[in-house]
Amino acid sequence: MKKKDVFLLMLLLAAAAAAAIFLRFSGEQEARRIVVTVDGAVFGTYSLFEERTVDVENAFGHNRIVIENGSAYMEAADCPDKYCMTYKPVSRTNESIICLPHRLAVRVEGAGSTGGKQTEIDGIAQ
Amino acid sequence: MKKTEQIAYCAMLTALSMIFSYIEALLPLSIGIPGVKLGLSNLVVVTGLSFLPVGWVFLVLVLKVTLVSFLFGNFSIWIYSMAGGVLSFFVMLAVKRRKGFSLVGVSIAGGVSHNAGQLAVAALTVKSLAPLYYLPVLIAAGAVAGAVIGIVSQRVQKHIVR
Repeated sequence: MKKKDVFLLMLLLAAAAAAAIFLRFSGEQEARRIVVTVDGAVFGTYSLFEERTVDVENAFGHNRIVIENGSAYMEAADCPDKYCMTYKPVSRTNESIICLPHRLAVRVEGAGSTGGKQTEIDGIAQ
Repeated sequence: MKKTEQIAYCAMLTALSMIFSYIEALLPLSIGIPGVKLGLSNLVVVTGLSFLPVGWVFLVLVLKVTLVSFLFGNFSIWIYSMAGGVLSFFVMLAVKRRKGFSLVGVSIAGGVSHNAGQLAVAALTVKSLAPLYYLPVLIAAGAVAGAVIGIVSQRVQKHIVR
């Protein structure tokens, strides 16, 4: 290992730490809701304060998202790899769960975040 | 090195990469973020870069990704692995040609670019920036995994190149 190798490692770790801090503290701090998108289009927006189960059923397949105790996780999915079910529950602004085979993304937003415009309503955009 | 020797090494590295992938599949390291892993099979690509002509190493990479994806995964996994693999291959070549970096630096750059490439494909697939939340942890994990793979490759290389 040479000096430049160590420098590169340190630089990357510092950049990762800076980016992590930025993502952690950017946007509205109080997480309010999750926005579910399928293939880039908003499927629905759901409050994190209301316990419920969201079933996403479409041409790509089926996913079941569960919201409880202020966080959301993927309970079931019929995708081939099931990676989405291995994500830890999300509860903080900007955290996300991705199901690549179903082109599905779950993202946590705060009150002032942009993106899902249909605030408090459980809008199903389909 | 004779051409027959190169073919033999290429075949051996490809076979080894499949065993490494199998070992890694047996020891799942789950921390709640898919994509964070050691990438043991990349050992053969990094080691290959130290003593084989570039074209052969690229062939090992393509064979490794294709065989492993269809053995342990599926077509969509093949696309993501290929995107990460090919991007990291060219980044590693670029770093290797620069002065001052050892195989460890090459491998660190490879690990990070592999994860960055996969994340970019993920963002394009779901047509959302949501996956980018995992960029910091994937950069850090790629750098550390790359360093470990690089250090091991350097040790192995000493015994191959005489």
